[in-house]
Amino acid sequence: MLKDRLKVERNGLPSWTRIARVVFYGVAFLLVITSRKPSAPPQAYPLRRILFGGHSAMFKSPGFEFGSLKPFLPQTGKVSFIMDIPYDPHDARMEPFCAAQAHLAPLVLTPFPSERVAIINCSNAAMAIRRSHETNYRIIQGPSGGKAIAVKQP
Amino acid sequence: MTFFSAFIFPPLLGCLLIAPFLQHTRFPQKILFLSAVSFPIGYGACSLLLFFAYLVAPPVATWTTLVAGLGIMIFSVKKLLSSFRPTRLSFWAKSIGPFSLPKFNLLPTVFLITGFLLFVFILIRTLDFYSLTISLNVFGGWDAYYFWALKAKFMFRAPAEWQNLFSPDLFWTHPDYPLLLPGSLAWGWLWLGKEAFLWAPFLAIGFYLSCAFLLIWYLTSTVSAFTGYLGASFFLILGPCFFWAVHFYADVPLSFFIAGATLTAVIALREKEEKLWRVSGLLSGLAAWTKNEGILFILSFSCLLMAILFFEKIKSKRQFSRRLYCFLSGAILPVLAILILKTFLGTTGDYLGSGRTLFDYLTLLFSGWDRVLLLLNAYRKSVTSFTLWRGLWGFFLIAVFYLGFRNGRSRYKWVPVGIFLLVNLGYAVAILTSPYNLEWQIQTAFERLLLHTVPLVLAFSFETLALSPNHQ
Repeated sequence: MLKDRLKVERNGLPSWTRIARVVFYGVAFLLVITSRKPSAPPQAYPLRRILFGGHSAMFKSPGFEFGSLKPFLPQTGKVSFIMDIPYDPHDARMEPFCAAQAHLAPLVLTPFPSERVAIINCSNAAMAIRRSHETNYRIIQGPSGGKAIAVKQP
Repeated sequence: MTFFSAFIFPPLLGCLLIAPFLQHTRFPQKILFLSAVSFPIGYGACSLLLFFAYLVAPPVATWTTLVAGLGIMIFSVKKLLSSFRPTRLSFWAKSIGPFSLPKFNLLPTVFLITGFLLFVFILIRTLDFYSLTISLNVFGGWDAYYFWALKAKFMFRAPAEWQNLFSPDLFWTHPDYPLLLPGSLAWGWLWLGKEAFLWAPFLAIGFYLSCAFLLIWYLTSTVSAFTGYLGASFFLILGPCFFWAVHFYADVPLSFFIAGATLTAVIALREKEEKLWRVSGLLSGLAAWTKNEGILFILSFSCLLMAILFFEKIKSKRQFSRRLYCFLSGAILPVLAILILKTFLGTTGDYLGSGRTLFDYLTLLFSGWDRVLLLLNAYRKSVTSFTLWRGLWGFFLIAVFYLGFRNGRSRYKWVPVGIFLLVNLGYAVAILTSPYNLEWQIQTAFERLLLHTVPLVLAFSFETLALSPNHQ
């Protein structure tokens, strides 16, 4: 009996390894069971009801504000996008450019004043007019709230 | 009904695409494996079909994709049925014999039920929190909306001019990025006939949960079902994995394909099954089709596999080339798509097509130890963060030491460690030679790069540290 037991012990794992493995299970189990998700802000609950309740129209995609310009723009091709400041990819103020691109695709927006038609997106109407002069564009639609459509002057 | 069919078609395609390769093999827990890979492989296949259909005939791409998908399904079913061996039935009938209940073991049963309940509890909590988080930002993070969804919009809104998505005039959108995620998004939208914005969260949670199911499959096959459920639950509590899933980035899908390809290769090596190399090859190819980092993975993985097969005691050269052929034939379609994309469509990028010379790269790489130290410090800071990783890297370190001291080369357990090292070494070189500011690069991309090998590291750590089936 003892002989058999010793044989099993010799073939099996050393006891410290077995203990260490049981400890691993215990630790992993404790880590899982004690984990907490951060609490969601209170507004998340009504929003979830709206989202999954079929009222998705309430959710506006980034760049939806450029939708009003669509009827005045070509369907495809390239259009310039003029802002208060020249383009800098690492500047967070460039997000409206990306949002407009996402909303107006398959139109290709370029941040340089090189195309015949341009979208002017400035902080106010005065700035839109100033930037259109600086970049040699003539406003044909707007400016409304700093947004305008312009064409390149010869 | 339309939403349901859009939901069911790709996983069914993925399942039928893989099933013939598992038939008549010693592959363990086939059903669990299929439940884990059907969704990612299905959507990967749909995005590939859509890409090739757009290349050939954009106006009828949707129908071409559908017909091709159905064709693959019918072919797979036919293949499955034609090689179905009726003798197996009599084998099962014989092995069951006179009906008897399996022997009841209390402890393993208690462990199994506990593990299962723990996983279900964590899963429900995760789904609840996921639905709340996406309600706050249903369009996802920056990359998700301004890169991936933008590319999908070009495919959905103007099929005739879809190639504009590769235009170098599109600023800050990376024209050379692979198209698994945009293709999957566009495929869903085309099927539904509208830009359903719940489609992106649906895809993201599908890939995220597939990672958990992959862990259940692997750990159940190699250790025990309890360990599988525990490992999957551990994955679901990791903050960064959830964070990037809820922002719909492509990093979680990539981490799935990296883990899937490596773990399938480990099983293929252990079971000495040639057919499984095709599955591993397909998963590796889809990793490359997900993100540029996946290309680095498939290169590292191919080199490692070549080395393993070369040093293995393989009986003949024919056996070596046969395994290599199986792996490459699995990866061929996604790799072909990548080659077409990089050569003819998205030819400009941060690395390939950037116009930089080898000298520029070497100058950046060896421009000072301070940059290397900055990167190493970022690694140290991240892996020692308990809040982020819940001690995962501690488990990994212990498992690596344990493997080094004890039977390191047995059963190919070291393969995931090799992949982890190769991939992260490649990432370190890529970060150091990045055209962008190093600190900005570390701040924005580092955690996501580390995430790519997390399911793999978790599978390795739990397999190595858990009790083997003989000692439960």
